[in-house]
Amino acid sequence: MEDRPQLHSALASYELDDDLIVYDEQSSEGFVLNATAAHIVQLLDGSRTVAAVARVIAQEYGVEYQQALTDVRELISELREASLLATDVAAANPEDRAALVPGAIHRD
Amino acid sequence: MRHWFRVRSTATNSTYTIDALGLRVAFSGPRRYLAATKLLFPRAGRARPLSSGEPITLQIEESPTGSGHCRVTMDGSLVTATSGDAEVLPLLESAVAQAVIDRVQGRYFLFHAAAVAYQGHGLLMPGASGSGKSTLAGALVAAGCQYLSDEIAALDPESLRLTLYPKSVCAKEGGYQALASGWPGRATPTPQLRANGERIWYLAPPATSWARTPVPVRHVVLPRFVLGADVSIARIPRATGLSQLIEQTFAPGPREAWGVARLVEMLRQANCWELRFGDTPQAAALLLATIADHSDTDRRRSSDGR
Repeated sequence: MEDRPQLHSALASYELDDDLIVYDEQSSEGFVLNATAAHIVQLLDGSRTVAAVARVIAQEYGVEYQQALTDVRELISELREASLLATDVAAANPEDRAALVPGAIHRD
Repeated sequence: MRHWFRVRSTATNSTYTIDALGLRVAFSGPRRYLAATKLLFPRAGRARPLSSGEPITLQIEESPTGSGHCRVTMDGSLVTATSGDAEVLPLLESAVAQAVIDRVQGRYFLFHAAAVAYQGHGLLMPGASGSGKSTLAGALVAAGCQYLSDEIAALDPESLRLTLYPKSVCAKEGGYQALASGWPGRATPTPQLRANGERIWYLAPPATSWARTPVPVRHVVLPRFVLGADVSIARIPRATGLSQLIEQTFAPGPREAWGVARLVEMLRQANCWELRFGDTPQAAALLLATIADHSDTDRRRSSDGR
């Protein structure tokens, strides 16, 4: 079965300019996503595969599909590392979670 | 056991009371220390405290031996002993700050930041020690701003307004040189000594320069003092301002979910800037000119949109 990632439900998010502030209430950590990353995150709703998200990004931003796929995978990897994806909640031991500072995910 | 710490003579003692964010603080001790304390906290407290919280008492006691040693107690418990007069004011500053952080954090977000008001707009300037925020606050006051704080900026999380923290500007040597001539007779005549050995001066802004009412935050400015650097200012993302504010908070409120939400709300109505400078008066002038220009642009946009 293909991976259909989504952010876990204990996250609060706030739009600020073009950025998206994502706040993890479980870890009390905040993250800043730039406009592109924020858009990708909005597409990660659990219904789309990674490939499907990459296709949307490629079309909307006018980039090669392969490039979009690389970027989407990279962001998902960072989100997973920060334990922000739904599947991470059950799997991750809070004590094992990487200590991140606000703004750690700031894709420019 | 030798009790060598005793009040030398109660006849020379006095009391001075201030109101720090609703916390009533009474200083008690020899008159000469209280005279200095009035330079550190120049605004005497109101007849009645703003809050019903317990007041605190800071007692200064000097050694009867005349050695210059003294000790400070808070509500009867020893805060620390000092080895000379020059250490007393920094000690009082630190003790009051800690008491405020401990007891007032439920009512205010407290940031390691300077703050001033300009034409009714609050400028919040978070920064670590050495960023130049205190001297910048002093220079902004000298340029016509109203003073709110140079060290602890208090934000009401409900109204999102900044409130005065009634302590004088604390400047290091460079800042003292820049500010003292503009405020004659309002600075400690000799340097004071922090526990880490750092030499500082306290400068009391003129009485008319203290902000009388809380003001909404309209600008978040990140001061970046760089020795010898040209003065420059640049808009930065509000998210960067948010990160800095969270980094420079004294108490957990702004790091909690509702706190982040309130800061985001505040930042949506504010502009964020990074101000690099080597010359503080020039930096103050550029910042105020930029803000005025920005306000004009906003007014024109608003007018065109009607």
